[in-house]
Amino acid sequence: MWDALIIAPFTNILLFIYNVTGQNFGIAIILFTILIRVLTHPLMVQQMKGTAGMQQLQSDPEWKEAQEKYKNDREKLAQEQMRIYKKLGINPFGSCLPMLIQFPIIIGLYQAIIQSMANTPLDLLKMVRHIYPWLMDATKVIPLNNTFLWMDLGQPERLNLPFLPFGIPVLAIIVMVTTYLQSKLMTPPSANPKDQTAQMTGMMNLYMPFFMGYLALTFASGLSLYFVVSNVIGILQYALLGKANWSSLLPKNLLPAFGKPADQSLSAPGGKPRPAKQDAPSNRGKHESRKNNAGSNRADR
Amino acid sequence: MKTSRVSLVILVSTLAALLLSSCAGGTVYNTWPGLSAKDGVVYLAYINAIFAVQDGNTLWRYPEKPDNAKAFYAPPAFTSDLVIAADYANHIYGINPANGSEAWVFAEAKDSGGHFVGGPLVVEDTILAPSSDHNLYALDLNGKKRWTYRTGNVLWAQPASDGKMVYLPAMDHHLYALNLSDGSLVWKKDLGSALPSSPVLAADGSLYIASLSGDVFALDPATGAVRWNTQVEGEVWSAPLLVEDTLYLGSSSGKVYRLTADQGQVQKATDLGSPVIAGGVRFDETVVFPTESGALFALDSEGKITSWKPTVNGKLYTTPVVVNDQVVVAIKDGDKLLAAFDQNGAEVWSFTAPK
Repeated sequence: MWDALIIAPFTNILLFIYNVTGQNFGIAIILFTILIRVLTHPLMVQQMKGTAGMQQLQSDPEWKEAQEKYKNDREKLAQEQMRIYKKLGINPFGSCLPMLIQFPIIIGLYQAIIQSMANTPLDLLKMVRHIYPWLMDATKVIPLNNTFLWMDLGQPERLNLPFLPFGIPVLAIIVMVTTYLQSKLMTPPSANPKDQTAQMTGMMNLYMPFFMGYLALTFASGLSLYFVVSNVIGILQYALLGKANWSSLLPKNLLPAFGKPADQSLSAPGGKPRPAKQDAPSNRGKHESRKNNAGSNRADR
Repeated sequence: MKTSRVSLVILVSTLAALLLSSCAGGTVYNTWPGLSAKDGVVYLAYINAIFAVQDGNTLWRYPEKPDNAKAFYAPPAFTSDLVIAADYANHIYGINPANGSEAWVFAEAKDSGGHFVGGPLVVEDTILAPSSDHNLYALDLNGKKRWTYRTGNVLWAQPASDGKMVYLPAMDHHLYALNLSDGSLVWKKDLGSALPSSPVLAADGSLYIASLSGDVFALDPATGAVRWNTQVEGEVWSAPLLVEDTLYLGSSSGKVYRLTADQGQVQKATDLGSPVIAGGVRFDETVVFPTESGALFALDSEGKITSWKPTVNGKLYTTPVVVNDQVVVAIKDGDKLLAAFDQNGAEVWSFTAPK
């Protein structure tokens, strides 16, 4: 079922792109990743809107009041929550549903790339079976041209220089850097340094680049290429939506100069400041902190 | 707050699990077992060990204790006093057949990023090992490198040799003919499709090979000139079986083809009902072919299916071996790793990996 609905179509699209773009698997991975990210872009926007709505709820005075009032009555609190959702026009599934739809697509993309690199006869046998005969002749496509720049995309990447006795894992380093950048750009500064969620997000921002770097170091470089392209497109998508938190890349002592515009750009999609009436001044910092956590979307890997 | 933290932990765990499980689908090695036999002992290369098995009993395993850094899929070869095994991390080992102790290890190719999937071949005093790093490695019997030859793509099939020349099939569509003494190229021939299976040398000097596209070729071993070419339905993943003047080969179409060796004419195509990925083996006046679905079929001299039809629970991708008048099969995704069948089709013994 998963094979027929997800992996087979994805593998065929990937190999079709490979076939019509000069039979270079590196170029095919880049184009295929861009295509999938563009196609899932509306879902990503929906997800961000949904998350922003949920954050809006957190700062709603009526909701805060209800939380206090019904803190010992979960059922009533749930009813109140649904009423406020309705009042604010929030879809409670608005953030998680698009993410759930994106998951199989992203994992399918990932598995299609792995399968197409077929490192063993059994992998190749499976790949051949997934190819639609009406689309292409599998036996003419095999073996795939896995060479891209200095890399063999079927092997872990190392750049060997004549004056060094060891190879440099360039792609793994780029994966780590772009993963870190993406995490930082999607994570807003926290108004409250003791906020546990912010602390967890900070830990994640440190942990994820190492995790992704380890994968890039160990597995075939075709996957690393996909990680890099996916990270770069993710950053571009956030930047185009006005959600990228560029100020987080600057040293803290420079933040006052950049903090305000960045914070404003984060207050609403498209960089437009959110109307002040939605939030009481005393709650503003906290509100933005929570709302901006919507940006730390790692589900799009 | 608690909810956020729990959600975050769940999200991270899910992502990690998905990423790792996705990786496990392809980049982490996964292929069929390697199988060979000598002096009544069956050698199975599968996952993290080479098992020496006699009548279902483990004589030894290499390495003695499971080592996840080692993985074996290439069928072992034999010198007069060593078992030659090649692993997925691109090492070649000389192993003492009496007790499974390591005599030597060739590790020069370990950093090339390649894997040994095709079995090594021993020709007199030379070990030939095809690697997915595109190189054929030629070693002496002490594991010292003599020469290497680099092709255009991965090598998954054992080469063939007549003692002077080496015939090396590559996934780059070429069959290479090399001098055994120094690895120099004599000729190479583009056969139009990937070559995942071994060539077969006939006593009369003909060279036969099948390609993934289902093309079967007879070549002149001296020049590489094509004597005849016949196409069968489906992909061919294993070497043809030459029995006197007849070639037998299975294909993914589920058919076993019987061809005349001199002209390549298809005499009969017998449908076994499931893809035939493994090669055939001669057994008691019949030829035996396993199917992917776990059935074994014996065909008589006219290509008709006989009543000998054992089955196993699992998939059969590996060419069987015949030991002590028994057909031994290596099973993938089954409850056993090996099973042996006698002339009546009864299971004589089986083998599961010791814990």
